[in-house]
Amino acid sequence: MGNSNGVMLQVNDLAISFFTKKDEIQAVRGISYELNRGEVLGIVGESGSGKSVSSHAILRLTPDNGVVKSGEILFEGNDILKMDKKQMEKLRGDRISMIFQDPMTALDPLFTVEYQLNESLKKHTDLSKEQRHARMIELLDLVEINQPERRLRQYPHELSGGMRQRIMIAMALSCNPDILIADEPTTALDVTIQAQIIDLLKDLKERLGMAIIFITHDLGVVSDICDKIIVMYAGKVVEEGTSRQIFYEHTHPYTQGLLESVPEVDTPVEQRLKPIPGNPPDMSCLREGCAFAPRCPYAMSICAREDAPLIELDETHAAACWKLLKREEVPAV
Amino acid sequence: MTVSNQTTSGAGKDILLEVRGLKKYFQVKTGLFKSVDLKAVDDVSFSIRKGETLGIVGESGCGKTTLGRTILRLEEPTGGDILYAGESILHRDMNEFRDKMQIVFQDPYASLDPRKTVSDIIGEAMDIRKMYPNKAERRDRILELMELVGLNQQFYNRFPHEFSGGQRQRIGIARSLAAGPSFIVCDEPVSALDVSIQAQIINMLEDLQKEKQLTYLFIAHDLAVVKHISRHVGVMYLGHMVELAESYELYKNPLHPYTQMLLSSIPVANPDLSRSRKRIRLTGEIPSPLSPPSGCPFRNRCPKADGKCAECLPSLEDTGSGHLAACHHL
Repeated sequence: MGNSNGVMLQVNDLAISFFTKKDEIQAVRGISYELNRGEVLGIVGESGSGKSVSSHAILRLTPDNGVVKSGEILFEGNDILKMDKKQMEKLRGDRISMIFQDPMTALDPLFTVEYQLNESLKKHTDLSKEQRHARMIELLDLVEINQPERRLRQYPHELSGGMRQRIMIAMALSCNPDILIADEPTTALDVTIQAQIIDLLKDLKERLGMAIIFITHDLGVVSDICDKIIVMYAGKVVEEGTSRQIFYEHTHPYTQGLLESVPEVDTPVEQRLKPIPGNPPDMSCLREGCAFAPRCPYAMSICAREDAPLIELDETHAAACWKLLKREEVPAV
Repeated sequence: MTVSNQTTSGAGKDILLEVRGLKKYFQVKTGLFKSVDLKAVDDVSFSIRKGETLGIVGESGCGKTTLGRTILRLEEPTGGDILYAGESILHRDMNEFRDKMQIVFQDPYASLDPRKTVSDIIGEAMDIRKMYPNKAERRDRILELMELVGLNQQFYNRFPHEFSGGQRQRIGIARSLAAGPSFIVCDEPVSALDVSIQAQIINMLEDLQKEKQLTYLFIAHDLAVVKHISRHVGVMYLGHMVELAESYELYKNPLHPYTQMLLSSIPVANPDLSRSRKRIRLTGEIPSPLSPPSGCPFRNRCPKADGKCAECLPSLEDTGSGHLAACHHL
């Protein structure tokens, strides 16, 4: 299985656009990353940064008006974007599965928990009816749901938000996937429930050894679960590094702004917040140059004309900003 | 705000809003002829001094939004009293108070009429009160408000769909300021916004408060945001106020087990800290408000709960220096 270096998923220069009657919206503009076996990757960005669109593409869940313009997504060396229907069916749920932000819309309100859990087991395994039932109980135990027998007979509306998200996770885990894509799994939940779900995911990662792609807009949420973090802005990766590098040694002005604009519980009350000025760009008419330049306190003349490439700072850390280069290295314009 | 001695000494002069034993029950049908009371807000009391902010935090379903709406009588209270500048507003025509008491809503997408231009949305409150019969004056006032909240004046005739979430929330704030209020309920004004925009709006609310001596009731589920903007913070659980203290004191020295649990579950953007931090492992979820536990509402999730907690509801009491908490185990 996999390569010797443990790279399981490799996204290369992925670009996705949406087409409306008038415009082309460049949601993802050439992003690349790697995910190793058993690793937790955080993808952080605000709405419209392309974090969800790029991750949905891994399971080919791009909406109809979205087009993958370039790039490849290699899972164990095979390009997911070129797979046929049968291969995709094998991949989805079995090898890679996904949990969504809003567990209420992802569960079917007309069917019991048992029915919905059973469905994926029936499709992907050849267990007998009794074995499937035993597996379902085991799964609900795994996600720390008490009274599993009773819960199986309930409908989604009878469960609380946190409980629904646990059921979603149980469904996603039913076939022991290698990768779990968690798309803002805690955004719709209260803080105490959010903390429970994050603890659960951490626990499951340790026990099952699966890799997780954790998509969120909240840096605080990913701080202690992720090995690696990618920060996205306007469809591009602006900084990537280990969790410590992103939090303590960040170099991109956007990462810095994002971290500074959030009040911490232990910051003094009197201290004024430092927001990032301006608004996120309109993705249907992106200007030339760095998309963050209009909001950037360090913007130079080149920033408005040419987009900075990802500049490698060390083996694991890279950022896309001209200010990281020495003056003579910056191309003349 | 509160702090008991004022309530007993018959309202200090600078108290703008006082709430006494406020209750809001909703009747929920459980059968053809049966119904039960959903106690969304149950016996909540506090007061806010002029120019200060009281933050209210709690999880969804704790009654914080209903509290804000009931204070403005967008919901009629079931019991208790609301005093604005020492005067009860309960049996009065609210139109007298609407220009003084305003609200900013959570969802900047749902709270603006999509068929009205920015100027009409902001100007509506003035038109209703016929504040500026002269068109040029009205226009000047609207432009002034737009500048105040950082909206480009060229947007005067634009429609809400042309704006981003942050800009819409600025429109919502300008609208609430139009009639010149002194008290504003901010109901989760930043939770629908991106983090980089949240800070812009919070700073703006703080500036407006200083400039216009505004008094806020700031409702949010994000504890860090509430702590940042509020002088005092109240924590609600299942319709009850379980703890109320100065913001700094509450976060430094939380007394109620629920507050301790809430604080320990805030995610911090600091991997070293969050890895080393002792987290209170939480169990259980908020019970249904239709069938709350007897006695203390928090007892089925509380590590300290015992027989006494099941028997009677702890009252919110001063533990010294104005730090109020409702727990039998203090």
